[in-house]
Amino acid sequence: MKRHIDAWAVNLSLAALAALLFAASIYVGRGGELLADKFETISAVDRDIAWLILTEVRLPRALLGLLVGATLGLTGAGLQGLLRNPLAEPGLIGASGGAALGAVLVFYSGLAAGTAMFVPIGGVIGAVAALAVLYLLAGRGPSVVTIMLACVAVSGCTGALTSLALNLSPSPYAALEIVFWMLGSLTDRSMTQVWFVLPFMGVGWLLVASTWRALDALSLGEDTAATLGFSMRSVTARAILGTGLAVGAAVSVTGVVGFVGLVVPHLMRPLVGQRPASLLLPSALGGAALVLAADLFVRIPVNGPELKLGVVTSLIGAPFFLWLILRTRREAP
Amino acid sequence: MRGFAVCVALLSGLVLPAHAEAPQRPPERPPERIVSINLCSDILAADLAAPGTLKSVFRLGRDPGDSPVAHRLQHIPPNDGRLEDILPFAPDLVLAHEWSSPFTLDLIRRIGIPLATVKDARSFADIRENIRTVAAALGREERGETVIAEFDAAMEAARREGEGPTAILYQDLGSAATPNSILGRILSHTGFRNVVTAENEVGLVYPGIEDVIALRPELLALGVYRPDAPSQAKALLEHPALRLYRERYASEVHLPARDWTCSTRFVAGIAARLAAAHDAMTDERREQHSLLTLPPWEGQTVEDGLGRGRR
Repeated sequence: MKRHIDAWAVNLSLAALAALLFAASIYVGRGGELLADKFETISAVDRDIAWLILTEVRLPRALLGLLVGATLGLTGAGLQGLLRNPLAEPGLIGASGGAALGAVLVFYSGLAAGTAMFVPIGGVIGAVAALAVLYLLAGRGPSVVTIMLACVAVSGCTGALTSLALNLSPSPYAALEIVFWMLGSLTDRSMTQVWFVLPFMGVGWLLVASTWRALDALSLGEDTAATLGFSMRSVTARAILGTGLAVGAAVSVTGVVGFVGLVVPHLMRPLVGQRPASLLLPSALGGAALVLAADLFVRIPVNGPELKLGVVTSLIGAPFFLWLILRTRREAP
Repeated sequence: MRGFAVCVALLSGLVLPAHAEAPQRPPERPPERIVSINLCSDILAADLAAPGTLKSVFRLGRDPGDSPVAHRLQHIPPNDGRLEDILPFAPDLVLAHEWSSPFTLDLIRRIGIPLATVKDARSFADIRENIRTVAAALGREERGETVIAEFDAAMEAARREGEGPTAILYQDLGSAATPNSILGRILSHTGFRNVVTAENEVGLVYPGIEDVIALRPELLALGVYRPDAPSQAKALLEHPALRLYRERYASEVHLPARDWTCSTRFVAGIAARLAAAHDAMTDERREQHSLLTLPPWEGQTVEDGLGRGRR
């Protein structure tokens, strides 16, 4: 019973943290400039312009930070549960890479000229395809080594193909755009994009969340889960499709933001315990908080273009990854 | 074949001294086999070279998206700026940019092919200097002076005086021209006040969309590069907030990148466009001034702004 109360307390405080960072994301601008100061100067002349900045520049950025962070945290926790592997994460296992490839193919082939809605669809197809390939490569009951090798193969392949597609595209800024798709950014996105990704993410979240009981059962092994009445096929399909939908939509708008899905579930485990089901919600909230915080961080430098979001999340994530390896080695005999 | 021989000789290090200095002054006989390996020198050579003497140009020089002289260079074979591409033409003059690959430039010098480099022009004086440099290397100083006179006349025609409307020159990737860049100089030459005041070595700053809007420029001059090619860099200019601002509050003018990617005499075309925008805006402002009998700086709100979508 005590654990239960703890979990709620954790969820509530994470939600409060995410809300606080969301407000800060709207309130703090480039180089730490505050919204109130800016509005004072702008709205002295024209209130409409101040409103325009608030609703069309600041709000979508904060909203996307929230949505993308929640997506990465939730799918990271879901994948770690599904694959029973602490290293699973949308970025590492190639879902994000696949999504970037799909989005890039649609965006630069000119298909997106019809409607920008096609870009998230391309991202979703890419992410689902990458996950499907991974599952086929890894086979049934794969070892950690097989999975990691398959991940390396899929991520490497999608990364190379994305670069190739950009190099072959008529875009004059191919090299710079490779950086965007590989490192991710929330700068100057718009509400249009929020509305585009929201339905995909919503469905994806529900699909991943619908597996929560099965994920708990899975932690006892596939056979146990099967005897408890969970169809492995259905659970896997829902988790993969849900991850593909949510991550595909996220990446198609912000590029690949790495390591969030890896780090957040590990940070949450000491707080809410090891059960995959109880990890899903805190991971989503924690992911949102982490991405919003990282996005605040990239605004600090004033000169030159803003840092890419993935630079900051990887700087946080990579050392964490190393620490994880060290700890795993210490625990293993 | 001759190129191959030169290459072998060079590699074996037998024939030529390692640091054969390229002649800095024009040779006695004007060069007849000119190869240009850079877009900017292509544009200058197209104006200055005697007919038939330009044997090869950089591939971008023939690309209408990048080069204002593409139509005049279609019959000239392209090169990719590598030594292998240059040698088969057996050039007696190579035109390059100060930023061309230093390895290629070094090889050209060591082989002993005369080399002239143009510099990155950041002022109108630099543009004239580049014309003189290439004209001198080609032995066509007179032609050079004619081109300079035409350029000066075109720039003079675009000059606008006084405290004009505020403007920003915003491009793909979200960069804005600083006052000390060539585009910044053209802005002030055509009578605009650049809302970007910071200066730096590169000549570009990166204000986000909200900063651009907060600076409240009356003119948004958009650098347009290959408008048909999709890119994230360009999607930025289509951001709803920026579009709304353009429609409601600001005039807008498009400046094709091929006229300013290299600062050559073709920036006069940019100046002409800006001057036309300046005239249109000051006319409009004068009308409003007489209508409202308000100082123009206080008369701008949604209802009576200077934008083209004025209600």
